Amino acid sequence: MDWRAVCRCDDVTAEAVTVVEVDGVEVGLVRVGGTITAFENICPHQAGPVCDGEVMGPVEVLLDSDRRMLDERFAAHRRILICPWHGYSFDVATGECITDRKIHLRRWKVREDDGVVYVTVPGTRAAHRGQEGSNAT
Amino acid sequence: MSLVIDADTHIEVSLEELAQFMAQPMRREVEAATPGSLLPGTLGAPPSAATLQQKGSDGPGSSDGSSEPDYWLAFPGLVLTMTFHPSVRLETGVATAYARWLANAYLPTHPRARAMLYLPIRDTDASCRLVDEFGDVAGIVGAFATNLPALQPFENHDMRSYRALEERRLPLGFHPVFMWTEPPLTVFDTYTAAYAYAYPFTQATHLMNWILSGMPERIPDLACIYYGAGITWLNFVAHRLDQGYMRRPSEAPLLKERPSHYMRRYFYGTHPVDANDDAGYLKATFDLIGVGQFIYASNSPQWDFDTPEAIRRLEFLDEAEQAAILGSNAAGLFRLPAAS
Ligand code: FES
Repeated sequence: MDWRAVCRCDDVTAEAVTVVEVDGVEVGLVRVGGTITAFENICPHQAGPVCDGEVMGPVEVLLDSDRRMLDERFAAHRRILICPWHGYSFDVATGECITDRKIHLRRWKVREDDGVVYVTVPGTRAAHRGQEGSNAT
Repeated sequence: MSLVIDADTHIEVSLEELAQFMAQPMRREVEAATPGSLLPGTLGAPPSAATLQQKGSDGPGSSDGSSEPDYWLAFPGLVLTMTFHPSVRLETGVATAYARWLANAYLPTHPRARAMLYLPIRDTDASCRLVDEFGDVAGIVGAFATNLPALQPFENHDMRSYRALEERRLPLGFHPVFMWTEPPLTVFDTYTAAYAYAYPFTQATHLMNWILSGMPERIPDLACIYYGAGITWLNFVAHRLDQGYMRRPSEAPLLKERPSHYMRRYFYGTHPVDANDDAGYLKATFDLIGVGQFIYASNSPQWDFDTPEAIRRLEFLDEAEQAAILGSNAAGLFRLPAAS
C-alpha cells in the first residue's frame, strides 16, 4: 500500500479539520477519540469543500418518559462536520450523512507512526471509487 | 365488489340538538341564543347535502351496490369550525356534548357508522378527559382536530392528549377547515381560488410543523391521518421538506431520517382525487407515499364529494390496490372487519 506522510500528528485536532493536499487531491483530517479519520474534500451533495466546514456536536433534545422536551443542547459524545455550502452534516467518525446514511463522505485510510500522519494514495480514480464510494443525492 | 369504507362522511347535527347533551348553565346559554349566532361563519361555502339528496343522486356506494358504504366515519360540519370560536369554554362544551351525542344517540342508531372524538386542542385537560371517558365507547375509532396550523400544538403540555390516544391505539385525524375571511385567504376574490389553495396549504403547513417538531419520534405509535386536501400536495411537501432538512438538521434534532420517510408512515384521505388530465402526477404521489397509506374519503355530501368510482377510475392502480384504498387500509387502521 502506498502511504504518504502528510502532516504531524499534533497538527490534527478534534475541533477542526486539517486539510492537506496529496497528488493534487485535498484530504481533510480530523481527530476522533484516539484515532484520526480522513475524508476527501469533496461533498457528496454538490461537490463543495466539505472539509472547510465547522466541526461541532449535533443538536440533541432530551425527552422525558412523557415525551416532553426537557432540554436542547450540543451533543458531547458525537461530532459532525458541516459542509459550508449547504449545511449537509456528516458524522466525523464514519463519514455518514447524519440525515441520510446512504450518503457518505469518501474516506481515506490513515495511520499514525512516530508522530507523523500517513494516508493512502488511491491507485486510479475508478479503483478508489470502487473501494470507498459515495452517493450523491 | 370490494369492501368500501368512507373515512370522511359529513353529518349534520345542530347546536340545539347538542345542547341537550350539555350541562347547565351552558345548556341554557346555548338554548337562549339566536340559532346560528354562536357559530363561526362559513362565508361562501357552496350548498351541499340537501341539493345532492333532493336530486336523487347516489352518495358513496358500497360493496353491495347500495348507495351507502359498508362503514363510514362521521364528521360533524358544525363541530369542525368550533376551533375558530374565541371561547375555548364553549368549544370544550360542544366537544363534550358531541361525544355524549355520539355515544348515546348517533352511534347506537347507526350500526355501520364510526366516529372520532373532537379534540378541543386548546384545552389539554378537556382533551384528555374526553379520550379517557369516551375512548373505549363502541364505534369511537379515534379523535380529530382542526385548525392546527394556527394552534401549533407541540408544547410539552400537548403531549398528554396524544399519549392518551397512542396508549389506546386511537388514530388522530387532522381535518382542514378554512375561513375565507382570515389571512392569507383574503387575497382571493373567488371561493374557488380560496378553496383550491386553503386545504392543501393548511395540511402542508401542519404536516411540516408536525414533522419538524419531532412528533413522529415523540409519539411514534400515534397513527395520524391528513384529510381533505387531495393528495398531490404531498409531492411538493416531501421534496421541499427533505431539501430544507438536509441543509438545516439542527432545526429538527429529534428526527432520525428524512421528513418524507416519516410522511410515509402517516395516512391520507384521498378526497378530492379526480385525475383530471394528468394521471401521472397523481401516480407519482401514490408511488411516493405508498398505496397502503391512502384511505378512501368521500367528503359526502359536500359539493365536491368523491364516490368510490373516483378510485376505480385510477387506471394506474390495479384491482388489489384499489380495494386496499377503498376499504382494507381503513379496516386495518380503524380495526374494522376486513370484509363487508
Ligand atoms: S455541497 Fe456540501 S452541502 Fe451542498
